[in-house]
Amino acid sequence: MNPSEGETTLPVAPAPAAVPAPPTQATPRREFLKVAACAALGGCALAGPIGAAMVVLANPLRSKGVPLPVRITTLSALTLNGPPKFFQVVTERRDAWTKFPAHAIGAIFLRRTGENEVMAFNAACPHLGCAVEYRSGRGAFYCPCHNSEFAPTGEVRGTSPSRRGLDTLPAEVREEGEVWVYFENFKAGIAKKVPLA
Amino acid sequence: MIKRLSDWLDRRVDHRRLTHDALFEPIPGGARWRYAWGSTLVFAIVVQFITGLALWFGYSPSAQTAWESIYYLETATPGGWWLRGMHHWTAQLMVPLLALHLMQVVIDGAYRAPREVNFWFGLALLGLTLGLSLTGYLLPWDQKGYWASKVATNLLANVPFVGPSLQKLVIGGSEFGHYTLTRFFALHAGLLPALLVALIVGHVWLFRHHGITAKQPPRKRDAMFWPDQVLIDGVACLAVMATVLLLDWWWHGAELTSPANPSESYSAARPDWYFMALFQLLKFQDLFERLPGGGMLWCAIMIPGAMATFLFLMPLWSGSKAGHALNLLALGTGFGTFATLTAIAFWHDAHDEHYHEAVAQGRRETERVKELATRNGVPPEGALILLSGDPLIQAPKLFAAKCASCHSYEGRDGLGVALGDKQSAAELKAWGSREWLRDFLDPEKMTGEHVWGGTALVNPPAGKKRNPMVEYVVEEIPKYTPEEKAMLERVILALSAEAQLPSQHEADARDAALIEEGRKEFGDTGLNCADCHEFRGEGGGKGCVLTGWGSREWTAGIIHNPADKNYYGRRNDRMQAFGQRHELSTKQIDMVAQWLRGEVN
Repeated sequence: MNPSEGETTLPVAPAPAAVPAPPTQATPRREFLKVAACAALGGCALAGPIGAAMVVLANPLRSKGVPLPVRITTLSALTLNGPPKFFQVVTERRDAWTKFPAHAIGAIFLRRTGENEVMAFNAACPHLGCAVEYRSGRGAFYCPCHNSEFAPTGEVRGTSPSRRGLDTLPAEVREEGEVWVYFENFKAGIAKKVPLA
Repeated sequence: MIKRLSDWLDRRVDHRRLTHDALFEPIPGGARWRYAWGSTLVFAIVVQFITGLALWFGYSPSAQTAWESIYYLETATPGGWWLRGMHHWTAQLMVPLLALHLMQVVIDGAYRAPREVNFWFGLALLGLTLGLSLTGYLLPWDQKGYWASKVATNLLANVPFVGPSLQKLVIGGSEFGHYTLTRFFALHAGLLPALLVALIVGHVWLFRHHGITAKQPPRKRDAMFWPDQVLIDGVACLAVMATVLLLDWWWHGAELTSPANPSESYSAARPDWYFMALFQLLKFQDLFERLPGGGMLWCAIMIPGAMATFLFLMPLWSGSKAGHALNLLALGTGFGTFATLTAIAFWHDAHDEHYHEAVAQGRRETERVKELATRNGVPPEGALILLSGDPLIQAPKLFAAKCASCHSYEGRDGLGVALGDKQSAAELKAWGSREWLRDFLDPEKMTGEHVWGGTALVNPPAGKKRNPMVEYVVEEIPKYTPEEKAMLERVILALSAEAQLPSQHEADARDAALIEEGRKEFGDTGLNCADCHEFRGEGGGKGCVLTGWGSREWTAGIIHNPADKNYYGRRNDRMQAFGQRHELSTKQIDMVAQWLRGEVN
């Protein structure tokens, strides 16, 4: 085609219903080899960036939640067999690159069940994760979202939508009456208590 | 099954015709390598879209999180540095690919009528690519990108009439900050790529409309784009990717210097290599100073603008042989000038001591901040404060700025640069150590330039006497009996133990008995040092207090005010009261003391 030529018309090949045959007289085998070579070249050339992108994007799959020991309060703040008390869980936390020296990561209720025994519940409702309250009038935990109700010991009460009781957390009393709780979150909406991994 | 699905789809979207049209572009004279540049550029852009999108998933554009998120991507995310490196090196390769594409188009005459508009599309794409690289350079919010972008946006302010407003719009105010990043990011990942796609569609559509400009004379019989040219293009794209991966692997990804610090100019900042010619041109600003508007306007706007305008107008007179020849000549000259300026810029840097020092300091800070971030995590205020509170980085700078006009550190200024003035006060490497004291109490070394040789204590102005301590060391110590010499060594151990240097921790513990003896021999039972110096609650006179000598507190105290009665008192030569006069903050003095004592790691 002459470059200085004005308007040019493309020789438009008819669009056949079947796979179009190229105008060269290539044998089917040669044709196949070329197609395969093109596919291989394209695949190889894009394998690097796509591979690296996939590995980076899939990285969160490797993350795992681990129970964090957190100092919550001291025994003196809890009355023996008294009503459950609400506490924020504040601890050092790493969020990707940032290290927060004191960051609220959740909330719990504590009940002192013995001289040196404490029971801890995650304040997230096992139904769908709202924050439950303790209503002393009813003597029960109550979720304001979908009306789930739990006994002070954590069991589901009445016709609650929650399929399991409040999630207990391991709690221990250390030296000088410090109350430590291994804080962890669990999957909502199911009957089994499964850690969020 | 597949056939039936394909038929079903074809009846609805007519995809076979679309593929057919896309693939069966006739190529007169057969497929050639020289036609592959455009395809490699499309390929490069596809790679940028893939890698850029993936980077987007982990990037957080704000002044406290941009550097941090990229640091996290590179160190804590597997494949992260590979990904960012590919994005970086593909961008680097796109510039030469664009240049080759432009040259091929002009040399083959593919810019002549009726293809002018498509040539302009191409130039616009070139401009967009440079815009993408400029905006992308800032996003890591590191020292290199920050300072280079400052220069670029300051140049923007030189555009006649709209410059200052344009500058404010681009950086989101009058100062660099959060908005600069959000705006650069929106440009880099939103607006510019959208325009790029639109222009590429136009570019390729027009190219198809006009057909390929075949190189004459034809070498082979006519062929179709598919599969002959596709095969060639595929090999070329693979070669591009292989180069990218090789560069990525060799350089271990893309550079991430220390976090942007507005208070500390980074003289090692350079733009990407393809802007180095412009960078160099700006150094010749003086030559154009007499032109109306001043040299900066000409170097930054008028000359590059004139060159762009010439490129833009080139097709208009390319119909004639002479016009085409002129264009080729201009393009050749342009590339030649570009190469020369680039070479000069790199040559200058290669022979510039200060530049090398700035690069070395930049590397030290980069390594240090990454080490601290890995060890301690990044605080919510961002990674920069890891550096600004770090004695290992800040103390040598303070030493160079405040102390090195008199003192030396390993014979240099603390940052490793040779001293500007002749040393007039003590060498402070190994401050607090036994070696330092042995040199100090050596009759020959004490009057040398590495101890007190340059001070008025040794060379008093006419009519005044030498300092009594100098007098003692020079006159008395040479007369010591072997027994007294052994005492002196024990006193040295005892004094040095006051410093509690981390590096002498084991030696001090090992020699505890000798140190205890030395403490006694400091006074009447030995060398009578306590006649002048107070030591551990005993003795004292006009000399400085030696209790805790060389410790962090003692060292900070003498920097705070050397003329205090516990230190030199009235005998202080020329040392300034850095703390009392508020030349250094308490925190800064403490950092210097820690660093001199080798306390930080």
